[in-house]
Amino acid sequence: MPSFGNFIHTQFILKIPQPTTSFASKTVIITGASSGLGKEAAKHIVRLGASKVILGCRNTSKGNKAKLEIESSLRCRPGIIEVWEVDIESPPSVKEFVDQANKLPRLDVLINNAGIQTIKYQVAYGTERTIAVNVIGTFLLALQLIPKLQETAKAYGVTPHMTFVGSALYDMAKYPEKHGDDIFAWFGDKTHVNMMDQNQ
Amino acid sequence: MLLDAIIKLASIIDPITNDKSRDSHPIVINSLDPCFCKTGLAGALTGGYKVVFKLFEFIFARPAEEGSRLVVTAASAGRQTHGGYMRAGALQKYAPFITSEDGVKQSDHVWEQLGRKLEQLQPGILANVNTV
Repeated sequence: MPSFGNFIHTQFILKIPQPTTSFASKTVIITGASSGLGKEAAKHIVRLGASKVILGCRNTSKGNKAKLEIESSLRCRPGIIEVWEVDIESPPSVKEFVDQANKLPRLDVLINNAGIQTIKYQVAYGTERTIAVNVIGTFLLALQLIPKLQETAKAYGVTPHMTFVGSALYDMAKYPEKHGDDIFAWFGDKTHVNMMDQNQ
Repeated sequence: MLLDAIIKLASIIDPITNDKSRDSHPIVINSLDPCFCKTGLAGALTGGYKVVFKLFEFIFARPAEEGSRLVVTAASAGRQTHGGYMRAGALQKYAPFITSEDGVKQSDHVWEQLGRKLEQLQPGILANVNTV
């Protein structure tokens, strides 16, 4: 966990420079892109010249709103931004998304941004839901898109990126000592979980 | 847990080695902390938690746009960030509990369990990473 001084520094003092690396001719997928970090990252990437930016969203009407907002604020040409439905809590939805992505001529960047935070204990994929979505769901999508990134690397001689949005609080997460053989099942038992610790 | 799996994935896919016979067109897999930003992430909070969080957010949070610059920076960073974690725009050292012997064992364990889970949800998925 960052010290308080470091936290103050990164929150107030640090100047975060505008990204300037060109994304010209690149195709980029951003998950959780209908709001927050995902939407803002999409805006930068469109501004930096990407030829296609796909907003992966659970809710496509929210995604379409984000698309219109970005298009009107940047006055970019229509057709760069596409909104594709994906719910990383659903394997069939992820599969459909992957199949669609595999039809793209290329995929240069995948930003795994989608995630949830909650203090309510819920279960998904047989485990606690923030782990289910942020870890299992994220990897369910990420692993299936690795071949496409590799294929793009070879075909175009480029270095594709897979970036995961995580947290500096990663070392605060309590890793259970006696979780038995199945850590996900362990977290699937409510009595083992303090929701304030679910930062992975 | 997410980091455990990312480190492992990066070590399997296009690891950084001096072996020239390996794939000459590697990819970059990295992660980052985007700073504490005002986003919809905590939207599901209710009651007292929400009040405290909102106050905390009002005092400390950066706009999502600023955090997103860090996301974009990571998504265009060099090969030296492969398997790494970035914060405030720079590559960071992992906490000792990740890099220690126990940490590596834990990473292996998480990876194995995650793999098993993913195979249940999408049979054949591990073939995507075991082709090297």
